[in-house]
Amino acid sequence: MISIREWRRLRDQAGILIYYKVEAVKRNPKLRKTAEEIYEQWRTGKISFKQALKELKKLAA
Amino acid sequence: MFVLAKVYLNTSILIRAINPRHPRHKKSLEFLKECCRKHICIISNVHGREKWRLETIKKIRALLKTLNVRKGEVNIPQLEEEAVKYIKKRGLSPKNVMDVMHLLAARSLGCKYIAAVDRFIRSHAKHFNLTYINYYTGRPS
Repeated sequence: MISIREWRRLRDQAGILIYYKVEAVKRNPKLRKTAEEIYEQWRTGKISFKQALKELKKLAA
Repeated sequence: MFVLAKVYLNTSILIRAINPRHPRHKKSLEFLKECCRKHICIISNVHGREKWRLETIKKIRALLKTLNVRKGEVNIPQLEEEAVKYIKKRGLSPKNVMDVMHLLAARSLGCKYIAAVDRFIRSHAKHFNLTYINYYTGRPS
């Protein structure tokens, strides 16, 4: 069963990733699909938070 | 005339209600049962943007079905943009984006109350014209 601590950690990670996703789309609206895919890959456990963050930061830069 | 209140259920209270090991599990569940029996309780598609294990999703779905909770739809890309704007304007951490999205969703779904157990939600609810409630504050009368 998910603990409050684990839920908070995941919620904070989601917030950070959404922040960079929005920044990436703001920089280039054509990146929306790619940024969304990275977020979904993290959400569904296909990639780690670290990896998703790295990729989204790169898109937002 | 008696008007039912619209209450948005934040994840923080749902997680407590599904976890029997949590010290406030019983209180959360009782509060939600009473709240949903007497008012219109709503969640949104923002909940689906959070990362949950399959086991958690199943438990939450079962709980929401039992409580007869409605699901509202909001424009996620628009909400994400608004949430980032809000945290930038106030110099908050990007970690808080998800909480702001829940507050925005509650407002856009016409809710007057947000049920949560969360310091951030508590201190920012008023900026979204929402009243923060939980098992400490009591449900709307």
